[in-house]
Amino acid sequence: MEAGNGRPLSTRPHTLPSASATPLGQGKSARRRGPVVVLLAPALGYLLLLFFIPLAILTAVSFMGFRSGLIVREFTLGHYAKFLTDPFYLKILLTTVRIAVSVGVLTVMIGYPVAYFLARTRSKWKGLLLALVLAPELSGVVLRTYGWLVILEDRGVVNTLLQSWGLIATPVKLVHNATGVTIGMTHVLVPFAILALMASIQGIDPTLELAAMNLGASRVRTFLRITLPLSMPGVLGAFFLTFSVSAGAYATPAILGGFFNDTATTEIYTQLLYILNWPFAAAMAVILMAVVLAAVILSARLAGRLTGAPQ
Amino acid sequence: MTRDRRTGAETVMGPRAIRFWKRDLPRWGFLALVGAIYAYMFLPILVVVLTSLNPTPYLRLPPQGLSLRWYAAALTPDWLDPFRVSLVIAVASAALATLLALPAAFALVRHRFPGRDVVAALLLSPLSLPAIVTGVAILQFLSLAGMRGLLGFNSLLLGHIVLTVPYAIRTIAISLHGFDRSIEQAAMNLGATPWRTFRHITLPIIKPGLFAGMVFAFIVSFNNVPISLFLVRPGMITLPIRILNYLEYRFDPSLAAVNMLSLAVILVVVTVAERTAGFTRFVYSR
Amino acid sequence: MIDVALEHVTKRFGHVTAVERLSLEVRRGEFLTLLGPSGCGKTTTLNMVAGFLDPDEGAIVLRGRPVTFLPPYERDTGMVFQNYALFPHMTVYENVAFGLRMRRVRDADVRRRVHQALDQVHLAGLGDRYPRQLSGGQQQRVALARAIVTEPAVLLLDEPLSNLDLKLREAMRLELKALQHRLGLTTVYVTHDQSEALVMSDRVVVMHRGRVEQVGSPLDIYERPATPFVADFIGTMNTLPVAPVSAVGEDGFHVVTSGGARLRLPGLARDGARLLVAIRPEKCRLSRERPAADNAIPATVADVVYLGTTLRYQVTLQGGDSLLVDDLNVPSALLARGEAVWAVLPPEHCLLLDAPK
Repeated sequence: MEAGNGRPLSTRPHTLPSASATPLGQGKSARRRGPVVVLLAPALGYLLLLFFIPLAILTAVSFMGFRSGLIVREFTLGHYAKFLTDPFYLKILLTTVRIAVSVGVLTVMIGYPVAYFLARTRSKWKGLLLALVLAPELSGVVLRTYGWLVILEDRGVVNTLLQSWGLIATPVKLVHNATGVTIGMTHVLVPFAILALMASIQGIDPTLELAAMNLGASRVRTFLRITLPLSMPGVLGAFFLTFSVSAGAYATPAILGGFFNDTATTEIYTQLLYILNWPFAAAMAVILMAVVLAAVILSARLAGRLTGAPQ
Repeated sequence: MTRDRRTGAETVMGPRAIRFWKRDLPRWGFLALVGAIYAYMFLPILVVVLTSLNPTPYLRLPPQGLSLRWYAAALTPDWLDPFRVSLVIAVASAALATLLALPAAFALVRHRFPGRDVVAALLLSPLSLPAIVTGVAILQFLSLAGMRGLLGFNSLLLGHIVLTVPYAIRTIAISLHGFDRSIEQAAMNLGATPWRTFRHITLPIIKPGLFAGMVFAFIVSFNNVPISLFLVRPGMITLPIRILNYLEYRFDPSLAAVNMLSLAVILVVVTVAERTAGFTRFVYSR
Repeated sequence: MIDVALEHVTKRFGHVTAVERLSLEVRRGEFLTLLGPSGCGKTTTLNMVAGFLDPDEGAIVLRGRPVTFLPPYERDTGMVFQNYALFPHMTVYENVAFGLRMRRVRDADVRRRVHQALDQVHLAGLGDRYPRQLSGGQQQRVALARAIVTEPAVLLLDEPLSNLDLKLREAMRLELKALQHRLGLTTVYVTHDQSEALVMSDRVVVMHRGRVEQVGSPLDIYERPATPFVADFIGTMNTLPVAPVSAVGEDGFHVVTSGGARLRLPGLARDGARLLVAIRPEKCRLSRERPAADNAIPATVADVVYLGTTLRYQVTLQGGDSLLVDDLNVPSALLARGEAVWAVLPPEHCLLLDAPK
């Protein structure tokens, strides 16, 4: 439901069911264009005022100057240049992307078995099992990330257990670094990957797997030669989806990263609320937006493609 | 070495062994893996539950007793005030978002008009963007437009609606999509005006979807971090942000109890929604 | 030489017994068909031979090698699926080569054998196509080539022709049968289509509710159905409930129909009060005059249906039983609806069956 940056629990949030199966006649439709505008106006107007205009202003601000703590009305590419050349910020971008890639890979790997199971099971509990996948999402990202903090911190469950078993002498550092952020974010995003993968695997005819085994392919080879290649659109779709959500997430990096400004989102927060360099924060937000939108578009393209033969 | 008619005469394995190694083990092994992943998904929630009931500041496994001391710490104005703010904002933004979303979902599902896909994409676009960007943008917009006075309750409500509207549109659109329009045509054929048809036929039928959309919006708002982050002000802060701020400096199990408070709200809301409207079918319907 | 043996195989799904104590042997080179209505257990049986399902009881032996619980990939069967199950992301060549590659056959041999298999199904030159670029009939041939290229111990066919249109289906029957015969493939064929079974098979196994009703050549199955189910399922059959009236006399065994007509049957007496006399419509005769033959029963023509080369009369026997009679479409011999006639059920064509409980 909400994953650090408020993404929906669906693999393709920007799609809607297509228009009603019994469309109105053309003439009728033309007569009804008036009502359509009236129906759409409140929602569109609201988003125009509080989403699109603010975004436009944000973009405009990202090109404005910033001197002695004040925004200056002048055009500059300086903030973008600063972000993309300063090693400090490049490192932040790199960390963000690295975590997002790890999260993308891990969510696909962890999600695949469950997605496969849900796609293939004929159990009457399927609905319940699917609901269980989604249930953790409803509990909110803060709660689950806090749970991981309890598990992973220096005096947490994992380190205590390892120490009591004599496996380690000093606590292993599992939080306040990229490891912790990756673990927490992976957990938050696994359900997203499961949904994307499940849709793709459901499109694969199960008799193809039987045919492969009949021809002498073991379970592993059947998976590698048949199931995995045919589910590749879902795999890539899930990867880019969790990649994009992870890159734009705030709460998990903040909590498990220990409020160190290792990632783009936490740095934006710092620039905006502590350093008060709004143009620079805006530029970072625009760059983040670009990265995420690119991944979202890729994920939609790939998830939307029909599973199966090359076109 | 046994020769057995039922299984491989040329192998050393008996029929039970073959059945175990070649059939049951892979099958149960896979199911065990799936079960383990399910357990993993609930692990942090379980840990929070245990921590909230654990008497010591650090969770030990197995738990060393039962205590409600952290709940006592959680039930103080420090936490109850933000909790109340989150509840009010979530209810209000869910209700307002549904009002905005219902006509829009109607237009998108019921009508074909030029640019429909673009309009749909625009209405759902807040979902595709990192919400933190939206939060930053709204903060800068309010400030630069000289409306900093709105920060706090008003800005939180305005900001949350940006995110809850697309959720509500999506859920309502799903419920409208499966609607048999001949029912409405029958009503109009029997002399009902379009408004009476909507009021007495359409609305009751789509009520589950409407309700599910509202519940969705409620949960999205109630759990929201990235928009609230920029729109709170001292004294008007939501629960997730309060938890984040607390975590920045301190870390103790009272947070677990606080989290249980919010989990309880969500459980109640989802249970009611599931019982009355079949909530989950809207969650994974596409 | 037995290639496939099933020994007392039972398969249950929950409380439903899909296959019950089924025993069956398929000889090398034989074309054996499992025939029955949907839900009779024929596909379940095939899936157990292929290893897609475990039997709950019993054993399965392929070429003398017990394979009961072996996974599909450690057996040696070649399956053609109803929907062909061609791998959509592989070319025709790659599809056919798949089984050979899984057996780690050398590249040069793979090439030779794939081309040979494609030749055999008349698809030479289409190796580079993708399955979706082929017609239904061509896809079917690819599936066949893929199944036979590994030279499996048994070829398993699960309603392979049911997705083809009628004309192609009839052509493929003959082609498939010819290929099977030429290569000497031991074949188990599953179908619900009786004419397919009769045309192609060496032996037919008629299944009903998980049990074997009858095993025999197509001629046996058609001419001498062993049970009322087989009689009813294959072709068109008249069945008349009868009761015995005497022990075997000099001229045979006498029964009486529910309508009171007396019939003489050849052979031995049967116990049981509930018996059926079965006779095919084309074996009955109608005549206007009282014939000298045995088993002539007064009747009335109730309906006439034109079937092209033949006419099918529905007559009502004295006492109310209904009987179908096929006759050649000869205008001079045409009988009218309502006409009083004599129906003859020649004793040598009458079969005596136990009535179902």
